[in-house]
Amino acid sequence: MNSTFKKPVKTDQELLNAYVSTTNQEFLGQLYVRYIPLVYGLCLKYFQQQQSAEDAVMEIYEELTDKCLKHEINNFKSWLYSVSKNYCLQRIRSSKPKLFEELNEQVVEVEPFLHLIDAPTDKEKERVLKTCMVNLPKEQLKCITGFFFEQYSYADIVLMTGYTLNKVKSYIQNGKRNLKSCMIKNLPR
Amino acid sequence: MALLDYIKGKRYGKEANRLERESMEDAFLQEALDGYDTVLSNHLHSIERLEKTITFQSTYKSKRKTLFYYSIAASITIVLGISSYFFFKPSEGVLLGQQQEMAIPTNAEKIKQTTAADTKAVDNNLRTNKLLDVKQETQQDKQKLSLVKEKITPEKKTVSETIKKAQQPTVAPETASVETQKNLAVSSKRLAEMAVLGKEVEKAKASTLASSADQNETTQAAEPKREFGKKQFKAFFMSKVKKQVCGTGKASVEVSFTLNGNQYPSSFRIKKFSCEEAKNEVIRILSYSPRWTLDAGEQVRMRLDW
Repeated sequence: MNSTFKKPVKTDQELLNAYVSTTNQEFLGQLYVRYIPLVYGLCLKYFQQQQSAEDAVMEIYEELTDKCLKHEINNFKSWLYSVSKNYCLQRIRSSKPKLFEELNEQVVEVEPFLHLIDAPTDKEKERVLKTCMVNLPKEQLKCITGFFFEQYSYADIVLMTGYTLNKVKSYIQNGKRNLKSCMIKNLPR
Repeated sequence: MALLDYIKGKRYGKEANRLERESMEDAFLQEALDGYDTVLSNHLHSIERLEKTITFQSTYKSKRKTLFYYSIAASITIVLGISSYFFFKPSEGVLLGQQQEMAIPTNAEKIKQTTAADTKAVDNNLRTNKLLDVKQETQQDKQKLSLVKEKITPEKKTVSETIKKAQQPTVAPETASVETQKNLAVSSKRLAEMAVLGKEVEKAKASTLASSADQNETTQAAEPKREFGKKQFKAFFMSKVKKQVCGTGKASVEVSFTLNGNQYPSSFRIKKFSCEEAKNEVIRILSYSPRWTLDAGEQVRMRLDW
């Protein structure tokens, strides 16, 4: 009888606790590797250069080895986001002073991310949402409908509408914001 | 859809939409997707390289840390081992001292040796004196000799005490005579002279003893020479033999043997025997028979009944 035993996958918190208790970098390495695509993407956004982003990923890891031991971390992903973003902003600030504002780690961890799906689901809210959508500009309506109701990706919408990717993203963002303000105005308290 | 698939270029369909909607809730993911959309390149290759580097670095660092601790432990062990060797190994000075001690006797040993020699000399002297006394007194009076012997015996028993006391030459044993006390107080030269004298006396005594032995031999020679023949052996045999070896009946063995060069029975031949035990018994007694007085090589034949 062949029985294969797989190592149980440890959670972020387990790996973090293991690293804090043993200071064995293997645990931190395992944990950080999970988030390399995110950190690398973030660095790409800020540095706009592949090499700078790669260097930044390595340097952030070096920072983590000390910072993990000093801070009490409840949500590693949120904390890593703030650390990575702050690192990128500091690096950019050193060359171009006062362009960005640093993120508050606590705010990032606690603040909920709003989404239309999380909006009220009862009939009254649906009615208000439909009314607000009618008032949206045409481009925003197309993009909002395609993205949220027809479940198309940005790339699909680009293909369908012929807008650029950035435009699609912008229409979706702006449309979402407009809908939110409209609904807050029209929903009875 | 996994983020890596999205990075690979699979950005169409519901799965891509799910990830993009997820990114609306997750600022980290959203900014990462923005980054991948901003810089178009083979990001997957870069990510793999980064993952390998981080994994290697973390493993290497942890191993290096372990290796560092092991090397510290090993070096401590080596240092302790070497230091313990030198700690337990006696120093050269001590070794030399020990060798010197072994080669050159200490003052105490010297004293011990000299006192031992002195004591020996004194003892010899005492013995000599006493022997002289004995010799003189034997000639003079036997009763007086016995008295002197009584005087010597307790002194001999306490040789060790004499040695101890010899180290303190001024203290004389209470039991020693005035003459002995004087002898103990004299120098080693005098003692040596006395020792030589003692040896001469011993030689004289030995010669006297030898002469007395000769006298004894002559007296023995004067005595009638003992005989051991058939008759004597039969008597000897009867005194040593086990009775009733062949049950209740009478045992009888007819034996012949030759006397060897030392006149002891050898080459036994049993001609007749009433039982095996009787035969063995005869051989047993013949084997430790006394020396016969018959000529060597002479053949003896006899019948033993008991």
